[in-house]
Amino acid sequence: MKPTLSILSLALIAPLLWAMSGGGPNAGTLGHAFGVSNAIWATLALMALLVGLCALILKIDRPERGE
Amino acid sequence: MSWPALICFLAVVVVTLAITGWASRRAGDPAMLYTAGGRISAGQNGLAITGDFISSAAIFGSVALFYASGVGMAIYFVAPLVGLCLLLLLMAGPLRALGRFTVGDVLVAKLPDERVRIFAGVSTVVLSEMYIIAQLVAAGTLFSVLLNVPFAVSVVAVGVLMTLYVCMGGMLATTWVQIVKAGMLIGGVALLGGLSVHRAGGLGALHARAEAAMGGSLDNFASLGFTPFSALSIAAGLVFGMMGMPHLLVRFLTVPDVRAARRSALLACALVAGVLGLLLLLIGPATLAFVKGDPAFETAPGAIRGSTNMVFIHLASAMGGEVLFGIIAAVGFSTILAVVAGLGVAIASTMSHDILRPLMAARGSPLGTAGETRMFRLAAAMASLVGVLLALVLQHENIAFLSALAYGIAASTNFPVLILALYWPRLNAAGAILGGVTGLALSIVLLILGPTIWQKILGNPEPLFPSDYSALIAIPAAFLVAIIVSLLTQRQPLPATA
Repeated sequence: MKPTLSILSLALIAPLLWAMSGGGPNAGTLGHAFGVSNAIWATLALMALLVGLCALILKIDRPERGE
Repeated sequence: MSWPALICFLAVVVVTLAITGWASRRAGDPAMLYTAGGRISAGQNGLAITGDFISSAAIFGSVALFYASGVGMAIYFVAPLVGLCLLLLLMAGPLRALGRFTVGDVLVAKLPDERVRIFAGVSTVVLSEMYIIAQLVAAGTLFSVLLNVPFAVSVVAVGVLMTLYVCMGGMLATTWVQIVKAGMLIGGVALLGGLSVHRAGGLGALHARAEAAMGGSLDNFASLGFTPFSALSIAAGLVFGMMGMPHLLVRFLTVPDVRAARRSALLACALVAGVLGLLLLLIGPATLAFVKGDPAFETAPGAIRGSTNMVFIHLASAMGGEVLFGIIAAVGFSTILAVVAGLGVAIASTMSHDILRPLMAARGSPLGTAGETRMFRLAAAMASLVGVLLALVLQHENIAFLSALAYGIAASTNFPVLILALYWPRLNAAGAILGGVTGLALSIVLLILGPTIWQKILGNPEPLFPSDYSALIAIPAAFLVAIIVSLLTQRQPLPATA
């Protein structure tokens, strides 16, 4: 498997984790950054985004022959 | 004693033992015991990963955190899910392609040195045993509150069941116990969530009622008050610990091929996200709406009967009386059984395949297939015995603390070595072993120097390390040592063993 897309996903996930981390002066900025006022729905949207991203990457990044 | 709960518990025991009896007739050789012969389908494995992944701490502990702090605990849902997603993207395929029975097999496929196998084996046994202890302590605490059963009896009962599942049915029985648990969990959470929304008169009404009970907005991410370092370190420990837990990693060796491994992981991601989403959207707010302030569930104003970890169970009582209480309690019971069974298989297969087999071969008396099978069963019984004894000794320790310790060690020991072995061709045996040892040593030393042990337990005025969460230091250190040692010893392999 080529890890390029997976590494890219890590790069995407890292700042999201920071936004969700619950600490620091910008705690909870995820919802506000996306104009979402409800933290529960923002979290659910993030979780759905993660799973959707995984499905997309798997679709594109298929196992190579013999792997 | 709650009779509906007792009946539901007994039903779980009967069903899981019947599964074990069925599996035992098919589990006669090491391949079946370790990985169910690689014949588990992607769908079955996806459900089993879900059952293995969501522990009692994830259910009871995180709902209790929501009850106490609102949505600020979302990091405990998002970070493990990220870990599972990255496990899918980065490791599921290579694990299946390279591994046969254990994580040690995967490492040796890339680093052909038996000392790497033994290092992986010791690390797997230590951290899986720690996690078993945390699960057994949770079981003892849960059942003593739910059924008035003494702590020791509960722990021994779970230990005996775990021994039976693993010794008799191996990975096949464990897989089906985990599938049953996943089904019960998904059904139980959906039922309880649906009843809560119906009782409140709609989702909006449920959230409004929760906010009224909480006395503030649910929309407060920073409610746990972590420092940025602690928050990121917790996140790193949960994300990368998830990617280093052997009982989850070996699940990818139970399917026929890489495609099935990745499909099963994707299904697990979707199911785990669905369950955690329901806990966040419905169950957490419902505990505030229907449990908080109800004298039936409090020993004093604000003090939850049996600790806040019980709010999930109390919500079941509030929604469906004794019967739903019994069903949800049985969900908790099956959760613990499924996780300890998975851990038991990881320890037993590692002990027999990665530690005892090479040691016996080095002494000139190879184990053979029958010997390996005997060692697997003996190791499962020993893992259970040691877990029960240590759970009895550590019964007053914080469950979350024990779990965090296991995750921290997995993140800083197994994860760096595995990911480098899979993606960095210049890693060698010396780098892998020293990097892993560095991560292990740092995670334990910094934990001892942190606030919980150094300040609260040992009574020192100030902690020497400012946080209980060391992953942000230990993980990069493990990577750094593994890389530097590998580069420095490219042409100097470790001296051969006698």
